Amino acid sequence: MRESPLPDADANNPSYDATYDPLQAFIELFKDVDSVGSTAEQKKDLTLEERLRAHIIDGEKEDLHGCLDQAMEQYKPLEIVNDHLLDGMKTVGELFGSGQMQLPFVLQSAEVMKMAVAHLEPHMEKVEGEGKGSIVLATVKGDVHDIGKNLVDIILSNNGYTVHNIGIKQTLPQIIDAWKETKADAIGLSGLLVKSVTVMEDNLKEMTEQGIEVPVILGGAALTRHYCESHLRDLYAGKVFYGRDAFEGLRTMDMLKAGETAVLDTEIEERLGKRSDAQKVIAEARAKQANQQDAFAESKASGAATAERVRSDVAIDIDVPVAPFWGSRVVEGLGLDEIYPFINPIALFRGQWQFKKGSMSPQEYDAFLEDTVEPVFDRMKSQLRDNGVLQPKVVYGYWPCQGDGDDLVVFDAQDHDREIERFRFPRQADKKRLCIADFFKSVESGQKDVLGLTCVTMGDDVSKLAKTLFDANDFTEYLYVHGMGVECAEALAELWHKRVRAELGIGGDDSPRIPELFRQKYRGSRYSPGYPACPDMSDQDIIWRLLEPERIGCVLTENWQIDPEQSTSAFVVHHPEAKYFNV
Amino acid sequence: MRSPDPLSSSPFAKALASRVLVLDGAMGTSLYSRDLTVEGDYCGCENCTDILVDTRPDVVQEIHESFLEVGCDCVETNSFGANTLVLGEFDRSEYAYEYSKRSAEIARAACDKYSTVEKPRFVLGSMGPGTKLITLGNTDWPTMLSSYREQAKGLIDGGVDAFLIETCQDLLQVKCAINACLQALEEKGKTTDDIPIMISVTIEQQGTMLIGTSIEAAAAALAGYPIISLGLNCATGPTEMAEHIHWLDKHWDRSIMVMPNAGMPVLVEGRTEYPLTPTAFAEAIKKYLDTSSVGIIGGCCGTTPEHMRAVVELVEGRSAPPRDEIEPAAPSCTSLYASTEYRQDNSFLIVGERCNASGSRKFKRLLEEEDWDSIVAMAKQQVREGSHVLDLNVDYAGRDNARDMREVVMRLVRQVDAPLMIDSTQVATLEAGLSCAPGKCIINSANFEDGEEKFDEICRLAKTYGAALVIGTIDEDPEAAMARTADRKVEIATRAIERAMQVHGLAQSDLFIDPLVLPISTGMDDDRRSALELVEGTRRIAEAFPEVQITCGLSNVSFGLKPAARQVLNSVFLDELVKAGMTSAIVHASKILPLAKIEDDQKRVAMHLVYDKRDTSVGGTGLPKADEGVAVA
Repeated sequence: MRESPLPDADANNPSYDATYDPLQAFIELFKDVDSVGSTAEQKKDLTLEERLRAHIIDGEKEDLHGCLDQAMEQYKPLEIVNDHLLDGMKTVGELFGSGQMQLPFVLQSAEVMKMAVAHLEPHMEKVEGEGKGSIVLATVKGDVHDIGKNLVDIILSNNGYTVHNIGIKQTLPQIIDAWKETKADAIGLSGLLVKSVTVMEDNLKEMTEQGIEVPVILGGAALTRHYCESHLRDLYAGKVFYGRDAFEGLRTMDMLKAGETAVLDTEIEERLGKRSDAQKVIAEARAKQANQQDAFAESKASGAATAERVRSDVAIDIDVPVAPFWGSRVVEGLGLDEIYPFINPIALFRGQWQFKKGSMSPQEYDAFLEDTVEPVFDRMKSQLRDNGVLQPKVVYGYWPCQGDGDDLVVFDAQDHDREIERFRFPRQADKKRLCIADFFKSVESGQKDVLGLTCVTMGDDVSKLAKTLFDANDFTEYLYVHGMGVECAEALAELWHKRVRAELGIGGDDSPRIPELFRQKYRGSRYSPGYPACPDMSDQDIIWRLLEPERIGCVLTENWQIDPEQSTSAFVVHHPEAKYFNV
Repeated sequence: MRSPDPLSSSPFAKALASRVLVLDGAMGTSLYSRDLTVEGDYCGCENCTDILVDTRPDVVQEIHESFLEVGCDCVETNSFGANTLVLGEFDRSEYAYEYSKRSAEIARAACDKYSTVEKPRFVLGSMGPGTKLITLGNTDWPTMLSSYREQAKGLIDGGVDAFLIETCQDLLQVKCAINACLQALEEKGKTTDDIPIMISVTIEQQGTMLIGTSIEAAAAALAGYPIISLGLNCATGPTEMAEHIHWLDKHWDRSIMVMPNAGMPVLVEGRTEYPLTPTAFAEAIKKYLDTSSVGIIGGCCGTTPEHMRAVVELVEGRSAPPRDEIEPAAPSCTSLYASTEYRQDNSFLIVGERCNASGSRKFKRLLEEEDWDSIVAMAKQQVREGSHVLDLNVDYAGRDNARDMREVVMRLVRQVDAPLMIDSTQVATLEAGLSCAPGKCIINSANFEDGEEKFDEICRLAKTYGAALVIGTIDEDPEAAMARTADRKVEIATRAIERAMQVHGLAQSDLFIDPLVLPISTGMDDDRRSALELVEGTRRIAEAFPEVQITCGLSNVSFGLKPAARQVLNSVFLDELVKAGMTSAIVHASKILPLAKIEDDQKRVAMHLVYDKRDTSVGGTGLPKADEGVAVA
């Protein structure tokens, strides 16, 4: 307790004399008190070296050149890069790895790094012309997703590696040719799809056949560390490494070039050894599930009868909505302002743009989103509206259909008795034994049901714009534009699903709040091929025969991915019990 | 502000007060179904339907008659885009007046054919949103104002019974169009009693107007204007409009109009289609008639005479629903997006003070650097710290203040969801900000220091731009213009409130009296009583004018003290003011401390300072008793 400044020393019972002046007393009271006020923390001047690092870590372009020029008075350009700037990048990598730095800021740092190197380059002595090392990077056959691969490109090239980024949908011969031509030290393969893991697997086998042993780094959303480090590693004659993110890829390259692969091998073996019994149990369960899926695939391939499979208890007395028309229709000329409200901000901010919460408190994260991320979102919305690169198009339609065991039979839009296509869906082996076919009137009921199909796209121009930005080293912007394109396609799918519900007269159960639509607060469900309930991507072929999405510029790759990437297709099911489920 | 007396001279207003009225269906849809040639009928201006009043009056009149024939009470003129801005897109801006006048004459001729004494038919002058969004800076207030004024003059001269400003996308556009109508009426020697103004906004599928305004905010921002009805048209079908119409039903105290599309539009194989049949449309309308007090029903895109025939049959014989027992929404100001009530539960209306060039060194520097993005970030920070409204003052000698005001307002209104308090001593700077702000702002401030002329000028700004108004208790007194005593504060406040209400028609609830905070920290005898006079003045103003808001620039009270001391004195003083009836304060929200967090002796001496507890022999109010001044937390 501070000493009372009041005239009477007893604070609990003060008395006052005629000279008492509250103003003087008040000023006196605060003579030594600063705590309720704010005191600006004086930042001490940073040293030159600290400033170099800070430019990289803060992604600060302002006065970069001045700082570099000053540094060149003391250091050789190469020392500046290797001892200070790359040290800053290392910190960036650590911050990113520990969740304390968001991807867009990492990219800003990379941009500054690139600017700095460009500034220093003319002053560098032309020595042996060999960089730190080189790598061929590719997204594998049938896969159009390239953002992860491009991030690896950015980080490796800004850390002194020569990167030969040969693009998406690369067949093995193309990859091998590039490697032979460039004599690269390693090959990096990337892919987002589950299917791409199989392609990587096939590639590794084939490379072994051809006697190739160059180190391979694998990465991508569907690939797990364990699968890579146990199964895939055993398949290949050379070394295989898992790259969780661009910085792990960088570390692996550094180790490779330093001839320290033994360290990496030891780490991998330790990890494999550490897998606990519990994890083994999980692995067995997974294997069992995989067997079931194989069995399903076999039964599907052989067309074996599935009558013995027990149907779920899904209600069969649901009234069938009236389709507004039969067959398909193309819809164009949609306004972006209609689509934007259906963008899921969480998917965009956290998923696409990688603004992770990390160690921030919920309040800090909200403030961060509001101050930093939402202005970007606003800017992207108006920019992409004004430059016209987003070209939303929809093809959708309705077909008569019936469930037949695990099959969904689709009838001709005109002749409702003529079967034209047949989807086969997997059934849960336990739990509720759900299967998508159960959500429709059965063949036995004698009634026809209605199946909705949709395919939406934002067009190809946004991919082109993203590529232009990437080529211009505008990495942050590239990430933003790419993410917007993908999430706009998802938003359009959500919007059009709402339209389909309205047309079927089942829109009454829609939540009035758009964010709740992202959690299926509406009647029925929308399943895209590849979802857990309908994992068979080849269903896309049937959808394509029915909807003819070529009319809106959408074609399938050999892995049944849609090109352009900013597109998505789906089954629309009206049954109230239809929600997402796993098989 | 209430609508004109329903028993005024306008026959349309009388009809609206007595029965449910049916408007016509879609003009555009009807026109597009006719075989009209681009080169001949449209004069080469494809889709410029407004031209047809000149080239094909027969077709336009025939469409009007097709709706009158099925029993519609009103038709809308074919003048949706007949203003200088839209016609300018076809190089025909000089025809705005003429086309508007022709459109009204044609509709008049059609109505005259069908009017009877029992069932008079009415011409509503259609005024569409145009092709430029003013809030996004595609055009500016003066340009848009003159564009609509030409249209309104033509409609008056052609003989319309009411203006229908419809398909509104943007609040600022609505405010501008209303002013254009009012100016045109004044020019023609008429008032809204002769030709009332109806407003119909478009709420998009996502539940707000195109640029994000909710129906609550739209109603709050427009309530102060002399409009006879508010409603919804276009964008969605009857079902999707229900939520917003029901809100109006509960909170809008004048007529409500509903004019839906025939369902949600779908572009099918290159053609727009509307799914609802006449029967389905009428069924959906019946729900409104049964569950809410809709007084005017029309059809927007995709509605044919058959749709309207079905509606006429439903409405036949229904009298106008009563609107006078509605409890209007609480007085509010608004951002572009949402409304904020003036009276906050368990709190006061917190006006963030930091975006002020004379109050914040940081803001001043950002203004110098024209670092608009950081200014936006600063504004957002204040909202996060709890500010309900943001004060914005760019007065800075040597800079173009009106331009700075525009630059900042244009950005803040879109990026920050808080109403703005536009603050300047210059009328031109105030107007620059107001003419870019779509929401209902608060003007800071008017006073009598330079006489009634400037006071009146600022009141007119509030009226024109639909803003609330802060009034400082300052008058023409050459010795002491600023009211120091409670008596003077009350006297000037009374004069100002009466003048603003009686001469300018401003609502009492839209007036914020600022009884002036003066420093008590100077040690000069003159200033010692400043705080207690303010507390007393506040108490008396609140008693005399219960609906008026009372605000103040709080931090002035502790001018010159060190920051920690200021924070304590400001917080203690604010608490006293709120207890006395202060409803708002302009503060740095995060620097206001809850009393419980202030140490007792600090609190006690602060109270002594506020109430000048010096000995009476030196002019104080008397020494404190032993335990006096310990605020009960």
